[in-house]
Amino acid sequence: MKFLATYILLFFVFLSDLSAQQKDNIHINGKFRNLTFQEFVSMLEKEYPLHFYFEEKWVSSIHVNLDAENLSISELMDKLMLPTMLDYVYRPPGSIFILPDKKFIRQLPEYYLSSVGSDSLEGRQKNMTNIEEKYLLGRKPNKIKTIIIGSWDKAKKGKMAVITGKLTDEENGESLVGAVIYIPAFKKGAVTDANGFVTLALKPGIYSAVFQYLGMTEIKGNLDVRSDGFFSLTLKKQFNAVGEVLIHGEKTQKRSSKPGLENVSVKTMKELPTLMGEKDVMKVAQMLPGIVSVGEGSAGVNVRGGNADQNLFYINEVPVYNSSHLFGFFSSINSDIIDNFSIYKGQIPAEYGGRLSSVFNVETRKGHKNNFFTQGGVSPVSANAEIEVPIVKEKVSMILSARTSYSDWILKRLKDPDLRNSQASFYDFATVLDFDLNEKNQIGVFAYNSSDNFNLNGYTEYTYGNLGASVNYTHRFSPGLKSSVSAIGSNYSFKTIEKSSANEAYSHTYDLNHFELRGSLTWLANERHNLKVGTDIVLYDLNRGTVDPYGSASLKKSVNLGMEKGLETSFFIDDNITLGPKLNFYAGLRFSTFTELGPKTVRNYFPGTSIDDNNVAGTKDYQNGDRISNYNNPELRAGMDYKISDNNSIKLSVTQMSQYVFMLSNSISIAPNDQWKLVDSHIKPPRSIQYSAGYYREIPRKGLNASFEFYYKQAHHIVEYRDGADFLASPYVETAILQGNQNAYGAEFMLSKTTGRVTGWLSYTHSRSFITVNGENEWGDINQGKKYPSNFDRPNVLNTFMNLEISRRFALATNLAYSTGRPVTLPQSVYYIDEQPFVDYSGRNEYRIPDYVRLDVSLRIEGNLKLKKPMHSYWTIGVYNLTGRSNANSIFFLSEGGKLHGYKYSVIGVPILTISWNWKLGNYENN
Amino acid sequence: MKTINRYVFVLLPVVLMLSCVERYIPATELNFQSKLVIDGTIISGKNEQEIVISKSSQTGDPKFTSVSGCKVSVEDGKGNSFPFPESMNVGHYLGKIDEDFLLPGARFRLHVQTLKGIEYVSSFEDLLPCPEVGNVYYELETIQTQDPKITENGLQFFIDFNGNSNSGHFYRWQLTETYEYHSKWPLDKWLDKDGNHDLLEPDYSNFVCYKTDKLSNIFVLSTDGFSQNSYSKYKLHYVKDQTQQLEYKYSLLVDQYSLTERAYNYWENLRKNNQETVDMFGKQPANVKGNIYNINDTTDVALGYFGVSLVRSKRIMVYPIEGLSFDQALLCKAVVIDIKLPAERPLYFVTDFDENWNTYIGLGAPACIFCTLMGGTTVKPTYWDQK
Repeated sequence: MKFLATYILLFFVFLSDLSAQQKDNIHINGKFRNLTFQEFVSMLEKEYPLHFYFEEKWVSSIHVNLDAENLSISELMDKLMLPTMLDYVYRPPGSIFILPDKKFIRQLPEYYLSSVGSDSLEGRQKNMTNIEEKYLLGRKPNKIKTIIIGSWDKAKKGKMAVITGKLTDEENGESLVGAVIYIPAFKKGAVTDANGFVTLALKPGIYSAVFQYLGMTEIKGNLDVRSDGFFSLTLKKQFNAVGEVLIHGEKTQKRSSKPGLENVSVKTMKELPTLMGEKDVMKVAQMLPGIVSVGEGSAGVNVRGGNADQNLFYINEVPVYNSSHLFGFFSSINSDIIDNFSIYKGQIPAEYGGRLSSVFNVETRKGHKNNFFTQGGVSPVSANAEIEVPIVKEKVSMILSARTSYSDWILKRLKDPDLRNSQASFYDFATVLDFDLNEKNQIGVFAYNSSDNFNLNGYTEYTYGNLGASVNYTHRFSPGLKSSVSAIGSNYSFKTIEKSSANEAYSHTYDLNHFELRGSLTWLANERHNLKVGTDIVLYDLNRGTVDPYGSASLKKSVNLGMEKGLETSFFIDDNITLGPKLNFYAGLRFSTFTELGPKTVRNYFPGTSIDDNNVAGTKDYQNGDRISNYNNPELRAGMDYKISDNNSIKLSVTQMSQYVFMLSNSISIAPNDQWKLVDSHIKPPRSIQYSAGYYREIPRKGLNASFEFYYKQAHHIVEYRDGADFLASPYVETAILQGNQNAYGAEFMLSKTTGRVTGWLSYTHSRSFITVNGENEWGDINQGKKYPSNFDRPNVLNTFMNLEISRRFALATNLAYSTGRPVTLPQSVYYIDEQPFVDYSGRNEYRIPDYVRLDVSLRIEGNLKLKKPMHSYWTIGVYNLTGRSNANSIFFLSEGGKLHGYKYSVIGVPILTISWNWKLGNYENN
Repeated sequence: MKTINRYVFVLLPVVLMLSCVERYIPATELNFQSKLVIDGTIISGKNEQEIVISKSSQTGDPKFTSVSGCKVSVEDGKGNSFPFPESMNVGHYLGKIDEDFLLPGARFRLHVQTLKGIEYVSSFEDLLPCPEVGNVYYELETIQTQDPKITENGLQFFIDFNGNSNSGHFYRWQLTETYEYHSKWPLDKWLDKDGNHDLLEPDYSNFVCYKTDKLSNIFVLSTDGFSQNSYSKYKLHYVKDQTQQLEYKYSLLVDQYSLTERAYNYWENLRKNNQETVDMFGKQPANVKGNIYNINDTTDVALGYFGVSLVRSKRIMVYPIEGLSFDQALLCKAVVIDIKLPAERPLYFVTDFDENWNTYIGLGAPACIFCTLMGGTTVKPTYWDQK
């Protein structure tokens, strides 16, 4: 601020300077020996009608030794100021302003060493300002770091050297995930992995390289590549001093070569306005193209026209079977500990499999390696906190995170009397342990536990929880060869108690265990091939549980829904092939097999008949470990990335997926008691193939990125449900389901802006999703075998998200979500039975509910911007559903007193104001 | 309220009402095709059986459109055929089936031929045994409303079912309620075109009425899969105390019908599609499939169901009980007479109390004097004085 004021002052003074030249009348005479500036000035002021304006510290080391013989003020000041770094402005008749720096350097300071004395040189140098420093440094030849990798004796003649580097944060020792190393000579770049490592293949030589990471000062350096080797580099946080021109937002990063890959940044999670002020990673995902949900209060997401059970959620390799708390209003992972969140919805790498539509991969932070750190937040319904502790500095760190809710006080204020007497709560815990043993070995340990509880007015009680842990060991044999082995366990269980009617009260407990071993080997063979090979073995052990009578009055008979065991084994191999600077191929193959294991009792039915209890030909009992059925599925994963020019590229891909576990859900939204089930001898595994093509364009000067993606997906053996299917009635699920085909296609457009004061994106998707269940016979049909839209078919979806940095401390964010109403089956006609009207329904999903439009805004107020402060916090005040629109969730008709009335049910019908508070150790920038 | 911490105040979000249910009127469809509706249940204990044939109508303009001129007959499993000629009431086809034919184990099938010559036939429906009706009783219940401060009182009715190994597992209850209600004032003074009239003794002949309504709710029970063939405290309907229904005397007639499993599925799906409010998670409507098919095209299924049931009935009388209040003050209030009388005739003069409990003479609405105008009858039902 000081400098700005000075420049403004200078400008005006300069203007007035031009006009006031003629009044230079005062002349100075005298001998001045060994005076301080202040003494000199007081003498002059006493004798002459002059006044000097200056700051003590600027002039504190000036000694005045001069003889003045009829000098004009200008001449005197020139003489006086010449040996110093100061400047002056003389405003006639008698005001002299001393300025702290020269308008331009007349001569280099070294020349005046001799005339004034050595001590004043130091004084002069201390007086150099930042601007001058920058100028001087800028004139010197670029002082660049050179990093030497490997040694000459290890060099292999004529062969490429494979180098591996590790990029860390200088301050806390945390590895930087997603940092970019870019070699301008080859227009080639690479990105660091989850452990902060990046690998490149280069011929021995010296290359200039640029190292970039969001929020850090960019480093330009030279890589002196002599042979295979390791190197490490630390990047420093970039502190933007107040008053300078700021660059907000992310630096543009080179796009990866996978179409359909979305990266959700932690920064966007902090900015997006949400229902209860809590950061929610799943809500951000739903603003991206191709990802929709059935509606508010729905716990699942639908990616590219696929069912909610076709998405695989990983947190640090632990699969999570229920990805949200409280009917989808909150995500089931504390967003504060997320480091990286990627969604693969188009080209899915061969190392992932098991679900048809997408993989949501969440990687957590690893923990501060140097200092204790903590952050958290409080919102009207929940609170969360995490702490990071370095156990062994630089080597071992630990994160503990906890989250809980307290929503009872809101439920008591609702209109609906059933909800008013209900309780809902959730909590989750997570622990991360990261062992950075040396540059060749890392071990990561992760454990997670979440639990939900919902009690609807004493009628129905739902409890469910996820429990999981993973241990990963990564070993680098050499810079180009890395292996990774993980052991993972995950458990999903729930309990339902239904007691609205004493005679029919029941309780049901369900338990799913998932044990997994993954291993992979990544080998950067040479500049052209980056191979990965691995295997993945999963043992599913699930108990569908028993439905037992609850309470003494219940007349329900116990039903044992059965246990299931299955072994899913996969092998994969893939190669990222680089053919020149413009063309990249991805060739991958995943071969997955599934074996259904006993103990189990399996029925067989009379051929050509409807599969139900009346057509059982016989049963067979299998013992523990017996093989009952087996499926083998090769899955092709291929893609191509062609860079037309620096800023535009085309990508194509073909992806085949298979799925061996699916969810039994005959409701439109996912319910907390929907059971996961394995495929078996009667229920074949769903399979899909997706073709996608995309065009990507970057406009770096404006910080804009645009992308167009088209996809077409075909899936077989999709599980649909017969009318009135009851999954609590029998262990023989094949009597309640039907399998059909699902076809989806779409065009996704996204425009995003990542720099400047205004950041955000606009995404528009046009897509359709249809299901056809057309069996050989009438009983195998749904909707008479004709194709019908899926429950989440939304032809037009528009999402815009915008974050405006009003100042460093205030930011305004807004998002607009629009989508076509989801399909619904509506009454087509009315008929009378016994003088009462009843409705006859149309074809399935033949109509649509009204469109969904929602506008949210939020204001973020950051705490002060002091550089050194123990704790920083920010408030978020937001309004969810600003326009108060009652977006329909479903339509239903009631026959009331001889009349037919239509009703629209909305989950949220008013604007909801919410305030939350978040805090963390450190200052504003520290993240 | 001295100093409320302003942060606490600011932290309270405006969440007084979150979710809501609103009326919704769908756009009328363009290509509407009417379907044939055949509704009939053969029941025991009745002199005449009735089959009603109609057409479905648009949701925007629902009305009962009868279909005339059909040839209707019912055959039993033994080759007997019972004709059902059309009655004076268009669309209603009446026939007689002797009690001897209506025994458990008998089966029946319906034949319908429309004017256009299309033949419909139903599946064979079995007549299943029906046990005596179990206890029918009630409890005083207070229910909450949308406004947390207001609660409602009323009677919740229940029924017990006691079957045995010989009875079937599927039943339906049809409820008919009858209640006594009174007008507010007897006929005393009135002004008509003939002039003023004043009776010596007020006329109470239109003061007490009885209204009978068939309840539209579908109540079905399945004990399939239960450890015993019985059920206690099945929830029937709820009658609130804000009307006169429970003020004087109330009678409930319960008809218990035995059903086949197929008939039960039909009624249960019909109930779910039409009488159940939305489930939090949403469900696709069930495919309510009748059992009457076009002979030449089995995909052409008529709406409605042809069923056969044995019926047992029970009637209970309900007397006013403590805990119910009858807030009738709003309904019938004498209108204060203006200087100029209204033009219509006749005008009825009645006495009423104002806010300060002073009497005044005002005009009474005809419906408050002639109870039959509210839809009832002054004829006392024969069972009314039973216990």
